[in-house]
Amino acid sequence: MLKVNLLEKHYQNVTAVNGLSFEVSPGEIFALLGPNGAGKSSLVKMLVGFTQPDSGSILLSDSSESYTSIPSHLLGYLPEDRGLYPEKTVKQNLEFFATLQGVSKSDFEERCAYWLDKFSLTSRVDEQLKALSKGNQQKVQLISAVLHQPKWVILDEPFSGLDPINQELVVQFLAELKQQGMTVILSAHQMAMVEKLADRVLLLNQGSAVIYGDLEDILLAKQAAVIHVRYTPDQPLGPLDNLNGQYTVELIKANQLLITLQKDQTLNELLPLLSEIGNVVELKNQSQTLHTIYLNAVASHNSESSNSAVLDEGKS
Amino acid sequence: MKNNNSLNVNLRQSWTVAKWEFLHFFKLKQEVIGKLIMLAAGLVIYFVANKSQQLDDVYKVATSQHFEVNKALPNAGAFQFIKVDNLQEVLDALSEEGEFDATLELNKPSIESKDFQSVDASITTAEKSNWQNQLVALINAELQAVKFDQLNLTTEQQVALSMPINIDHKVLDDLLKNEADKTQTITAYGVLFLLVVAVFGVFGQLFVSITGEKQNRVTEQLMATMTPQTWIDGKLLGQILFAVKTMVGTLLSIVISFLFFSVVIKQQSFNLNIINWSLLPWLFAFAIAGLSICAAFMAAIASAIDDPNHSGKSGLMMLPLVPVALTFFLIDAPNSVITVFLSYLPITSFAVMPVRMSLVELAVWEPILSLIFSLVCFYYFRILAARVFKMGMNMYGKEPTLKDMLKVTYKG
Repeated sequence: MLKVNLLEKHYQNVTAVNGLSFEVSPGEIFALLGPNGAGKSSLVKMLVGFTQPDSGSILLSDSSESYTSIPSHLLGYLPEDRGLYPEKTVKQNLEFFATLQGVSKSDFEERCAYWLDKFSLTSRVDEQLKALSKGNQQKVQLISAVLHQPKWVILDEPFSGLDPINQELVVQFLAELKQQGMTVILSAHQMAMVEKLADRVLLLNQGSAVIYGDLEDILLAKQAAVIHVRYTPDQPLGPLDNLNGQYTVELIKANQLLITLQKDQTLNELLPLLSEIGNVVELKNQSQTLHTIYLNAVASHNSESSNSAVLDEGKS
Repeated sequence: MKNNNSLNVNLRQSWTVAKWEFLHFFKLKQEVIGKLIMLAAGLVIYFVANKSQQLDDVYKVATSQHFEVNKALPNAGAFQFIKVDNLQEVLDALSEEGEFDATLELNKPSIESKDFQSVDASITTAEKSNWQNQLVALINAELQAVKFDQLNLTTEQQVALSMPINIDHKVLDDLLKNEADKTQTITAYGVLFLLVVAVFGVFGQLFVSITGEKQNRVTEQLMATMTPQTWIDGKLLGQILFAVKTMVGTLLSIVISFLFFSVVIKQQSFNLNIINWSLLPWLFAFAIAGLSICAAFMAAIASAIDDPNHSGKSGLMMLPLVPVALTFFLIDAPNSVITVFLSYLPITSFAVMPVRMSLVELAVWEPILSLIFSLVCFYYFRILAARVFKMGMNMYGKEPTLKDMLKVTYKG
């Protein structure tokens, strides 16, 4: 279990991390979200022990041992600022990192073959790294981070620079790491990917936690289903008074509605009522995704911050 | 138990980095090609030299007087000295392809005239060529023999006159070694030369290696697998091993070239007395200590360089070579206070102490103490290098200033 308590980190006049507290349980995929400059990389650097917090604590309990950052023998790390040795071959690069982590020759051969096959890189094992595309180089670096089968894996922006097909491969890769019992802490901007993978999320903005918890709960709590309806012929909302009594209805255009369903309401009850307004030609689910939740939460937090700054100025 | 395990992991990782570093710069193919080129050059020199010393043709030399050489002299058979009536006629025709290859005019008798500055003989040829050196050598040997005969010298006297003069210079200062120990000084300077070659190699390689890893953005992933100290230790070990390989390789090349020229070309006996073998282990120990200190210092500077194309710190990496240069100026006064001080100061002792050892009788504890100071200095320099590296890595593309580097030395 990783417990972070009231963590703070300042760089000169900038507060990178501001009183963060959260927990990561073994075996889960934990996503760190937030706009650029939110404090994700500063947090990651403290988790891996590159920098020390100014205050607060990090406590990792593993078996009977406890640590103040994730120790290197338990850690697989893909930094945001990444690269390997371009003049060396794929195999030489992988073998170097595996040897550093104490992986035996036979284990290395077996695991290397397995992951290279997963990423369709087997035929390129003896090529210089610089001969590979940027995406393929990134896949090699992902493999290098997990060859020693660490208990904790921290991946900073693993999807950046990858095309959609390779992004899907990385999703499968992460799912497999979870299946193998590894705990994955993931920092990413690709909300669709995070929504597919993450068990829990922490949304950071300006160094503070804005949203934190189970992804399922967050998605459910932040929304009731929103249905977008298009119909013919055009008509005012008058005939829909029946609907208005039971649902929140918003007329967008003369032939389009947004209907919000509460948690206990289903489409089954709504559909017969919709037939009364005319011919329904399109019905779309416009529920909030993690993406919209993220945008709304950050915007709201920014607005609160600027209001409190104005208040502070007024007081002074 | 936990500490032992951690130490084992650090040692294993340092050794892995050292091997990686060594093999990164050790290119077997290039080494073999280099040695083959050396061998080919040696063979070419051998054949050219051999050919120029042993003449196949017979050259005709016109003289105005009768001149004959001792047939036992080298290349005597390659020259025919023919007396002609009109030497000027031959001289005029020399530029055209004629009967004669050269003319010889003898100025006799210089002994009687006591004009020892005058020219004994003049040779004229149309062009310059290697066989003319053999002609000059032959005439020189013959004329010297003639002079000896004119003086009625015995064989012993002739041998004595042929020998070079040896002057033995003794110094009354008991602390200084006498001239008989000259081989020690030559060996010390020789090792110093090898050290300079090795330090230059380490300078280039450390610079490329550390800044290259930063440019390739591999450092963060490396630091997630080991501590900065383990990484620096591995890098230094790899570089020191490579430098030792360079020194041994250069030494072997020099010795083999020396043997080749003396034994094969000059046909002298096999002689390596120029090297003082008893001093060599000391010199080797100081060379390793010096290399280690220089490498750790250079690693600290290279760790602080973010962009090698625009950093002003690159020049600082050459600072460790200053003591070597200093040694050449100070060595005339090997017992002066400043020289003695510098022979114990770790950043200069690796260059000054070995040369002092070759010139002054020292108690055995003196070089040992100097070596201990060097090793302690290296121990702290490597810690400093790791601290600077860690600081630079967390500065997000900014370079630490010299003030930052000094601060991190004390604070960690």
